Amino acid sequence: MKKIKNSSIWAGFVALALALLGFMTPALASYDVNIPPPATPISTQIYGLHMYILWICVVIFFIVFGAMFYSIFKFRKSKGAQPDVNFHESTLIEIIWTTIPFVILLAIAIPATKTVLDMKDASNPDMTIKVTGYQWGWRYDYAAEDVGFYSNLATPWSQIGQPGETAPETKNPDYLLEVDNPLVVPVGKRVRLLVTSNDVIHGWYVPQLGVNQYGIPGFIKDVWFRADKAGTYKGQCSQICGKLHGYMPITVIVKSDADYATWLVEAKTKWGSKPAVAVAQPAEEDTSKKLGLAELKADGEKVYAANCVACHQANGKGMPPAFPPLAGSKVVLGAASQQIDVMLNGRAGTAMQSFAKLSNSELAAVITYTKNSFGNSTGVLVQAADVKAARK
Amino acid sequence: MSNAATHAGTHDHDHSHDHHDHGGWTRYFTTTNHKDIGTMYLWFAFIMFFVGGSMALLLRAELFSPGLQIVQPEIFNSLTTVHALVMIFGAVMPAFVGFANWLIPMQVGAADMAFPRMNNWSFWIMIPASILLMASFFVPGGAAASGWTLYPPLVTQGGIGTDMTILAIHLLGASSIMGSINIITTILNLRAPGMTLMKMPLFCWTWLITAYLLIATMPVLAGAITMLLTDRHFGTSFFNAAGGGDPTMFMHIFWFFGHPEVYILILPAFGIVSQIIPAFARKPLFGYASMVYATAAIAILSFIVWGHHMFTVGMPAAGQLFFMYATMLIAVPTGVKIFNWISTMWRGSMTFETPMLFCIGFLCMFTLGGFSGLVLSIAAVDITLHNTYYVVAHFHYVLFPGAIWGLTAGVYFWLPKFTGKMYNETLGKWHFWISAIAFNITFFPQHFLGLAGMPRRIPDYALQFTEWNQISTVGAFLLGASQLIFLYNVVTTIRSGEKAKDKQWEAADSLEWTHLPSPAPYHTFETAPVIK
Amino acid sequence: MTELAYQAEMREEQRRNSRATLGKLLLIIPVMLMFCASMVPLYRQICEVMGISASKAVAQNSQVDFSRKVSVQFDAGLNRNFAWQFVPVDKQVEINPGQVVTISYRVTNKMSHATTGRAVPSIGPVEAGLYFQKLACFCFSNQTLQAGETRDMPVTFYVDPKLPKDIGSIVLSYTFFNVTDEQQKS
Repeated sequence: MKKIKNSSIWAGFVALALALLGFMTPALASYDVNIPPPATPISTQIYGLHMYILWICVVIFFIVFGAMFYSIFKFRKSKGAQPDVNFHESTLIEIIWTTIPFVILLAIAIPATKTVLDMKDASNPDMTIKVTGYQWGWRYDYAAEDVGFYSNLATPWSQIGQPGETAPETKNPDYLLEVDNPLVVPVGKRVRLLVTSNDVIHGWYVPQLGVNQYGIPGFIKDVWFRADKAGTYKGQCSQICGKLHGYMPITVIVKSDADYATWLVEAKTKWGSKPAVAVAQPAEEDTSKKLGLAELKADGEKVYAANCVACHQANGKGMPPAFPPLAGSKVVLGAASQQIDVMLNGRAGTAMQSFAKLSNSELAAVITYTKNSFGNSTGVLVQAADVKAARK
Repeated sequence: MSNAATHAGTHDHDHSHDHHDHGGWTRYFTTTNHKDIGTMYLWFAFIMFFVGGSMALLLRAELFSPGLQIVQPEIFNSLTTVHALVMIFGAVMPAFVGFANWLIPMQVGAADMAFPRMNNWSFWIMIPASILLMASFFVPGGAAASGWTLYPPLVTQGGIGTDMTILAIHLLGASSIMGSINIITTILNLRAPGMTLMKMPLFCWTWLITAYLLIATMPVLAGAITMLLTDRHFGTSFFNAAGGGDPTMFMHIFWFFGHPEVYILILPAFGIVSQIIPAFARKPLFGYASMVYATAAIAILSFIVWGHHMFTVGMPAAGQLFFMYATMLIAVPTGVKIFNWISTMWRGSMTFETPMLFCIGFLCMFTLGGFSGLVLSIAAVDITLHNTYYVVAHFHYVLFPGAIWGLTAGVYFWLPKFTGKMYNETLGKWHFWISAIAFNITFFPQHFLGLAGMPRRIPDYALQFTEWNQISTVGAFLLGASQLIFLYNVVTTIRSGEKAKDKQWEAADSLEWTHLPSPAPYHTFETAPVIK
Repeated sequence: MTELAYQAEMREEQRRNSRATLGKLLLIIPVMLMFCASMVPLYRQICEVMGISASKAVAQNSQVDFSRKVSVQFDAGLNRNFAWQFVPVDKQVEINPGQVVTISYRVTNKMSHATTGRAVPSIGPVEAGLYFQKLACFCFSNQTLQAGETRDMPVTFYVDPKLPKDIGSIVLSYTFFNVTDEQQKS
């Protein structure tokens, strides 16, 4: 009787397992279950190393679980097993199962050491890019080319939504992984990154390139990669860095030499005259034009939606005290020069940082917008020329 | 059996702990009785477990789909931070101290803990600490939102909630140190005649080693967070590059505490499991001495592996290799423990009551957590997995089935001894099977998320991560619900459980089972038993 | 000895021993606190030896190694993007190990008021820090610039000829922190 019961349980288990496997195989195809395809020699090594250790673990898994479940089924009281109370000590066995894991670890350590050493390469790189993390985006400066630009999340807040409200727009396929200005590098070149940070610790993490490096304010940390295949590689900030940690993606586009050269020419015209630091104003901007309130406000609203809304909120109420309200704010209602100063230089010790990266007209528009919205009605207009004057 | 010994206690010494005679629940404020204090610790931990669990469910609910639905990102960060702190300092550690209070005096044949009054303080200090921690959500600026690792400079941006958190950690640390001093002193000095160290139940051994870890590392944490506090308010720059400091130094100091800390969270569970498995295999623990040595080896190694949390800060290759090798080495003593437990079952005569089920679950899941730990120990592979959900999966695999199931097994195992009443076995089995399935639904997919590159501590994610996150969230709610069965089972046992036998588990062999009735009387071993 | 007296004596002894243990255990706490505090100078020391913070300036005579060249890049940064302009005048030099070189950085205060900054040096790769010797630099001391002022700041250094052969490229970076507020406070 008991035998029959047991065998039917077993049959049930096997059937269930097969059914699950059957269901899962097609499903798994669309679900990511492994490290994304590597694109550099180092990430290829990492991928291989992971698979190698995984298989070793699978073998150990079957041995350990096999022994355990064998005991569970064989040595149960309900099957009349008698305890062998004298089997509780054996120096020989202890030595054996201390030694064997040690040997297995050696087998893992040898290839692992090779990869760690290969990751370090201090020879002359083909090019150097400084990566600066800030709250919450990235800046890339091409050391030799005099090109530097910011790379921010391109997904609009209307797709992200707000707690308690559904996002007004549907999410596009690259949701949260798209940036306005991706990092572009040539294929097959050894690219050295000098990773640092402008404020708190960030992590520049692109798994397919085999790079995950903290940027620490005040220090540069060098890492490198050499992408063997042209393509687009995505990553995100890996170290919690405050409110919008989840909203600072990384996109690296690897281009052929010719395409890279074309891109570089464009980049130089767009960002070239900027020095490595962010204080200089964008090239050749016409700051002589005077705009009316309606125009400034309309422009400012767009700038606000792109740069300010995450912290200060669409209604200007902010999220005090970390993110103070702009509605009724002393600074906003006060002298224009004071607000321009905050916008250009940020506020030390707070999440408010310099927005000197914006153009004079953008800053003028957004300052005018805040001075005349959310119930603020100063009637004060700030023109691009005012901002330009303050930059000096 | 010498129950007589208990009742024939000689009353020739100070009885400051006789408060239960003047009745009422108010005695708990002043009690110095190790059983009262143990009970308070266990209930406190149980409550905090549900508090921390609710936070986790909020996090999982937000992560059910991409986009922001439930909480603002900064609240999400606070919840992540406080969930970790509550679970570590509020649930797991106090629960272990609760067991230590109840069991260690009985298991070594002592009448009480060595310093009963200090014991009372170490419990009551936790109450203001936990209030501070929870209240930080309601102050301007909200609770600390920098992750439980409190890395500067992010932590210096926090508001007053961060200071409250630091103060709370100071108090909880002081409480742990007092508890540890009590435990070490009790074990070293109050053992009954004949109870040599190598005759002690494994639970006492693992706690002895854990207590040393605590005393050695808690002051280091206290020092680190004090430096944070002075950096925040008094213009020092320990961790500020502008003043010649370095944020990386905080990571070094923090993880010098932090890695032993994770063993503090697991070693006492090893002790509990090492007592339960032999009881249900009806066979002595295999390799008792090697278990003790392995525990000590893990504890010692835990001091030289902290750098594996920092493989991505940019350390020299020599540093990466050293920390990688040291970390891999931990697999050896841990493996020895797993093999010993399996050999304890081998040629035993096993039954599968709830405590045993949880121990087997512990063995299976902890082994899986060990595998992912091995993968993460490889510095090169860690580059691609650091701060992803793979890490989240790894430490939940070792801490949930490790610490929490170890504790759960302990509760079911000793509840009959604590209360004199037997829990409902059917409900216990339901609790186990639902937890086991739900746990794997929750955390197994997180391995895949991490491998695919989803960073941790983010409130929102790219669309490709949606499916596994949804599965994980469903599992989390099931897991949360299964803990309600546990709560119900414990409460009904205390209220109306059937009478338990003095020796509820026939093969349990520590003193509380062999020498004492169920429930264990308020005063035990006033006359020390003699162990042969 | 009666059982009762024996028990009483045992308790008394246990109490004595417990107190002794307590004393020893309490000793661990200040020791570990001191250990933690000692991490600060110790860490600085280690970093200096390894050249991670590279704040020391030691003059040493050494032979110039003409057999190979090392390229040294210069990088400049501003913490929290305050309105200074800070760039290396020379972006890169090729030098022989042992050769003493002086380069300079240029900093301009673009703000409308005097501002004080303090520069923190950093060297990559970490392994090179040990061999990168700065003989004179402007780091770790406050630099106050009037509104609109421009200043050139020299750095004199050499690379130890013992530099491992596999290091072919070194980056020297300075980050300026705005410490105007801090200075006003003190």
